Amino acid sequence: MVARVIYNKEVLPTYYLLGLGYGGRTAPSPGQFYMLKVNRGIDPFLRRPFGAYRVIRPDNGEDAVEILYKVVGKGTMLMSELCPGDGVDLLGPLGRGFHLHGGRGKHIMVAGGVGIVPFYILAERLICQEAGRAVLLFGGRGKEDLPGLGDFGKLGLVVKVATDNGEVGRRCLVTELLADEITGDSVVYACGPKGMLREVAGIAAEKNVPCYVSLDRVMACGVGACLGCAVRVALPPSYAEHEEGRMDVQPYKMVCRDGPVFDSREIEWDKL
Amino acid sequence: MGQAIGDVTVPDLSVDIAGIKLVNPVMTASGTFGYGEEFAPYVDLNGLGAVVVKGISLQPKPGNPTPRIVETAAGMLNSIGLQNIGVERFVEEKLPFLSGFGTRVIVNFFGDSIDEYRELAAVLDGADGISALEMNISCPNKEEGWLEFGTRPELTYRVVNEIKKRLRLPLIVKLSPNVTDITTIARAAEDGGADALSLINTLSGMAVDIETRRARLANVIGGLSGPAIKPVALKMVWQVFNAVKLPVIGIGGIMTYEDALEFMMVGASAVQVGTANFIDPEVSIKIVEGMKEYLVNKCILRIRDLVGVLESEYD
Ligand SMILES: Cc1cc2nc3c(=O)[nH]c(=O)nc-3n(C[C@H](O)[C@H](O)[C@H](O)COP(=O)(O)OP(=O)(O)OC[C@H]3O[C@@H](n4cnc5c(N)ncnc54)[C@H](O)[C@@H]3O)c2cc1C
Ligand SMILES: Cc1cc2nc3c(=O)[nH]c(=O)nc-3n(C[C@H](O)[C@H](O)[C@H](O)COP(=O)(O)O)c2cc1C
Ligand code: FES
Repeated sequence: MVARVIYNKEVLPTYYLLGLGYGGRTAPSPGQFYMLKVNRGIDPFLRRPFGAYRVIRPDNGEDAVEILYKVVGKGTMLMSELCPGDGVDLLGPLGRGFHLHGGRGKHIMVAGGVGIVPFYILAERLICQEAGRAVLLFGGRGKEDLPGLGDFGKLGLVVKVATDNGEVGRRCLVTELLADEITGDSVVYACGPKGMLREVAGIAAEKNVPCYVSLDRVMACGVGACLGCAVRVALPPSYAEHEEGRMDVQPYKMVCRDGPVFDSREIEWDKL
Repeated sequence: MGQAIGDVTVPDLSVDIAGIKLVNPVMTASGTFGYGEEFAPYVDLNGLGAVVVKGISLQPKPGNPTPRIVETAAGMLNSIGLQNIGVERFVEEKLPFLSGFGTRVIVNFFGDSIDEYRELAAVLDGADGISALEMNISCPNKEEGWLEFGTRPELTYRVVNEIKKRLRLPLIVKLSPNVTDITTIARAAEDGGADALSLINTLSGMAVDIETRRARLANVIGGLSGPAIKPVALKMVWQVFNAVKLPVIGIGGIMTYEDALEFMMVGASAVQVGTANFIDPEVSIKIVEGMKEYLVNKCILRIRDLVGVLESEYD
């Protein structure tokens, strides 16, 4: 499961693109992730989860799976120091990603910062399957917080940008773009910070359109064994009153195995 | 031809624990390997001495609020809250898959009263495909002011004795390290009729986020596991080995075959690998391979010849 680093380049301040030798691996579906072990020692101790950004198949050269990541702590700092030829242990692709929701006129992807990651492969699928109009709404603090923006332009889908400082696109929150964009025949896919996801889920619920969110949780095993990455799910209303007594219903799902993508109506947003 | 007796290139890795024979002394620890199926795509279960499954209770348990895990220096804290699907679904949905492999299946179980332990043990005793039971006594007893069974010798004796006298399957009792003197608990379990002891369960601990001033676990307190606890675990295995006649299974921070051999030298007849599975799903198989190589290099015929060989003299 050791993959070789082909490249590891800084694409924006604190954002890196890591190309890993792909070999004959299983292709990741949109929203799936890998558990990466970048160091040999025990500090940091656990693997870290990262989404599959793109699979690149150059005419001459090696196929690569790309990880797009932001340096936020110990593990990602070490990742940023990887050089071509280094080995990275990767487990996956794991989890259940976005499934294309058929029969909708408009597919709206909402990304916040590094939450852009699952949408490249999803956009490719949407375009390839002519699944209706595909729109990407991308929000960040400023122009240096929109990793991969250039890649999406080349895919030929509608891209609308929101920044806090107005450097690029509209000066507003990405959720405001969504409020303008959403129609009754839309389906919404979202990945980003918790607050953004909650807001997106609310807007979709108001319009009564399907909405899928990719959640982020600290993980240990990544395969559904440790039960560490639990997320509280909304129980059917009939159970709500005496939920703790009804032990035939499990109030938690695992982000790594049951997700990371969930139907937004499933999530107990107050407890996230 | 089968394995030639005395052939140093094919060392004998098998061990006997509580009357059952394991092809090798390496098992996966409860709660770190799910019900086996989660790891089956990444590791050949047939290569394991045994799989010890996630702790099972009579009724399903929802588990604790989140966050439930946090990384710490050379380890992690967890407060999963013993979430599990309950014995009924376990026997119906999980056991058939696991018993399809050539590995031993050991079922970890727990309760909050002696009655629950007893009822649960009876159900498991009647199920097919289980080689032994491992009793987790690091659980609060609702009949004794929520004191943990495994922290009082009299409680330990009583619960072990009640379960053992009706049980057909071998009973392994898993000890908590969060006690003043683990040997008194070990002796109580032995007197109660345990067939083997396994130790240690996680060490109680906590971590704080200084930005939010909150504990990093929603439950505040959790269980520490991983390499950080290995020296403590080794000491306790050594103490217990010297205090009882029962076979001991060593657990705590094992990441490599060297770690596993340390446990065997202080008295463990077998070992369990826990948190290390998260870092490398194949770690247990690698440990078995490493043991084999060690034996070949040292011209040792049987792994069991290493149990308790700790030297007490220094030149
Ligand atoms: C399914 C999934 C897919 C992911 N995909 C990507 C991706 O494609 N690109 C990417 O850059 N990141 C992704 N992440 C987040 C990534 O896993 C974390 O940023 C990473 O684990 C941090 O490791 P570290 O050692 O650098 O940080 P640490 O030193 O562990 O922590 C540093 C800081 O980051 C915070 N942090 C730690 N873990 C997480 C986490 N899981 N999510 C958010 N904050 C965290 C800590 O609270 C702390 O404040 C994903 C997470 C999940 C669950
Ligand atoms: C996430 C997690 C869940 C656990 N669940 C159980 C359990 O259900 N029953 C039990 O007896 N021990 C449980 N344990 C304890 C382990 O089986 C083992 O005793 C402990 O982790 C020490 O070993 P290690 O350092 O190799 O992980 C759990 C440990 C972890 C990390
Ligand atoms: S990370 Fe272990 S269950 Fe999800």
